[in-house]
Amino acid sequence: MKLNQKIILILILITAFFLRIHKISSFPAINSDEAAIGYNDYSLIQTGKDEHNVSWPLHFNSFGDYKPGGYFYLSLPFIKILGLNLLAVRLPNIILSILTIFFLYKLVALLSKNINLALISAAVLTFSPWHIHFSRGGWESSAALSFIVIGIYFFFKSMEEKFLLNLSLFIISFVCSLYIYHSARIIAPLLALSLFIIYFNFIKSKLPKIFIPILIGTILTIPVLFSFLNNGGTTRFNGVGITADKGPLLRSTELLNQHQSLNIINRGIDNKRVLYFISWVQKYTSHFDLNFLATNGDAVPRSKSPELGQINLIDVPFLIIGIIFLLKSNIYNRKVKIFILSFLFISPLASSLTFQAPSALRSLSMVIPLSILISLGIFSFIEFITKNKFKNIFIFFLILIYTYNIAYSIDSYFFHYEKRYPTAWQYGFSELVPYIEKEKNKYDNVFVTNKYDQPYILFLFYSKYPPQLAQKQMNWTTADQFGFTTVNHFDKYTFEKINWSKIPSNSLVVSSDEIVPSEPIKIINFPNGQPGFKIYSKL
Amino acid sequence: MAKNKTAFLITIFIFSFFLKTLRINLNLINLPTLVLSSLIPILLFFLIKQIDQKSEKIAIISSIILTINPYNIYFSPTTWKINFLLFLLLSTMWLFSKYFNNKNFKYLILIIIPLVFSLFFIDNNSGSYPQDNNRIQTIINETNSFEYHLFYGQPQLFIRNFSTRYFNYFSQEFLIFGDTFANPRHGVILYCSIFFLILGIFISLSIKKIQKINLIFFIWLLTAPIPAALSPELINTDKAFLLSIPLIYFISLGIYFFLIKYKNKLAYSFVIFAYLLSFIYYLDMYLNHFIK
Repeated sequence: MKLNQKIILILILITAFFLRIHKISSFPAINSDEAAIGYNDYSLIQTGKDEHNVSWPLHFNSFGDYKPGGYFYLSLPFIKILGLNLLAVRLPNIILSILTIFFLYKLVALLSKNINLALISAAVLTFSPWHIHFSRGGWESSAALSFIVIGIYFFFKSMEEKFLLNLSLFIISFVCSLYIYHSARIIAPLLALSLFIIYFNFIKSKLPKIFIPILIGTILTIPVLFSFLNNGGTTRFNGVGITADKGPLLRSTELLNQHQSLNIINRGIDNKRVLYFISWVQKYTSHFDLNFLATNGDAVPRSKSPELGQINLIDVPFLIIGIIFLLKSNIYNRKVKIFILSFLFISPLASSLTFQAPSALRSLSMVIPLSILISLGIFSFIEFITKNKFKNIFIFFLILIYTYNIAYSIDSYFFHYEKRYPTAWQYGFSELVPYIEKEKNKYDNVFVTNKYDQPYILFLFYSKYPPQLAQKQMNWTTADQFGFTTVNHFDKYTFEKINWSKIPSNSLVVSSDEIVPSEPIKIINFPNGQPGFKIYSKL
Repeated sequence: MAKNKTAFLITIFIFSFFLKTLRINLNLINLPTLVLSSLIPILLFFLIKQIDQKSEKIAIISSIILTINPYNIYFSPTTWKINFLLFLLLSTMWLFSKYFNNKNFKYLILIIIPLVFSLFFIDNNSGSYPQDNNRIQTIINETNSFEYHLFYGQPQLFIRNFSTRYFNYFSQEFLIFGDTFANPRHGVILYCSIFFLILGIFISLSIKKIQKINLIFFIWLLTAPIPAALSPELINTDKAFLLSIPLIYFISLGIYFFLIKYKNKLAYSFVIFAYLLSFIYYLDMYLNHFIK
């Protein structure tokens, strides 16, 4: 590696860090999952138990969604050192996301033996809107992806040197991802399986030695497997799984009713099982829709930036060129080519098994094979035009168009996102909770709107409410149709839809858009200037 | 051999004609369209064979797939204009290929006939993309007018609108499922065709030296949705109708490669079974659930 290549790599990593750390304590605002991670860590540090009074769990019950514990334990030392704040929750993911970029660089360099291509891959991932967004939050999917990429690198490294050590690191990294995120429990084993199938001959040649790392992997996986089965893992799947979508069931009934008389063919074709299978294929293939990838992005505002896809629009032609050159060129050998395509096709599998698809969050691992393909497209394009006498003009325009596209995506994300979708993240709570905490002693009760997701955890987080008290005071509601629970009452707080006539006297009331026949004593606005919370005093 | 080929093409014509009459009453008004659209599979057969003499098997598969393709069945009975345009386009390409291969000037002169005819069918009523004044005001309020013009102005909006519509024609929604735009709720190709379409495109691109015929259909595939993408509708199936031909070509190429890769009865049975199931599913949608 030449000195200038080292400098470029360092510059890429610094840029990546800056894009991921900039305004991280306030942008985007907290969301309830991050607050749950932070507060449960805080509770563990203070009491050795989570908010549900469970000692050091592997799965955190949280909102009934049984979050895998990996990220909680990753962020725990940061909470211990930095205190209970948003930076401490997000910092582990930011560090891991930089590691993802670094290990992608190492992986591409290892597989292609081409440093320039590896640098382009790292740059593509650095500026990927998809990766930037999910690196800037306490997203377990991004943290799990880091371990997957690190693991893949060590697998290929094991083929070159220190077989046992590197293979063990591969297995440990993959097992770590299982502890962090639900979707990784489908993607990581399938990726490992694909690697084992593609490199079967190599693995067979190492047969006696391979049992030790596999044994280590199996032993490390057993706790998460048992915990998953015993702690509502299946409940979680029932809540968000493809069968939670009643659409195919209703459609089956509709289609069957349209027949004047039913025969075996009609029953077979319009069967709910057939329609659920079609629905699954539809969800799976939707992840390859270029409108999802390049123009509109995810439908869920929490996972997208306004008028922006998951990748930059300019990436599309290079993605196509990349696929063509992956098939045609010899930069990667045949087995690596098969692995890259397997990675691409395995990545949306977990997401396709849920009712919300395409999901940028659950299919985040697609960003890695896509970055590899886009970078190959850019590299091949540059290689092609270097034979042309106008190469400098071409390269100038390439840099210009890319700079413009990146500037566009940064503008969309950093300047428009919070104003366009203020309710996607829980803006206003960082200002609301300290104000209420200051005022609440003047009142008997505090009523807070439950319009925004899981408000209780945000009050616990921002007030640093003593976990010892919270564990005693909180009662969870029964699970809703998706399996989620919440807390409606603790301390003086009651979280419900505001109905002014039913609120007792001497109460402090926080509403959102509910109609209240009184003048607010304070209004907290969203970043776009619209009122987010209105605070009333009912005397 | 020639006798077999004639019998095959006549069978294709009759079968194609029969499929197109399933949902309509046969009368003198729609008869020309039905005949013309039933001739398209035969014309495609000759075109592929003319471009590449070695591609006879692909030509056979293409004509079969075109006969049972939802896009072509759905549009054949009533919309004579786009069928006639497709017929003229295929004729022009066939004559041009004939001239290219034989260097016989008469074919070049004959091209004038379909070209002149096609002029009568060119529809320049493309319209424009819808304007959204609220969007402009929202963006300006979020930042400022300079930034709006730099990143979100009319040229950028045009690129965005065009890209969205263009990508729609390669989406699973358009190709397979058709939930949001089609009646019956089915895409423009049969369900199992998607597998062979991807295979066909991948294989054609992975061959070291790209073949002329593959390149022609690849360019056709990429350019065919452009007129439709320029129209205001998010999906305009009429204007994208010419896309059906490259789709069918690559599906056929995929089937052909699949069958020569696995030269056994199981592979043939798999393809026939997959197509039978997909076609029955489509027919159920087309005949039993249309407009219900």
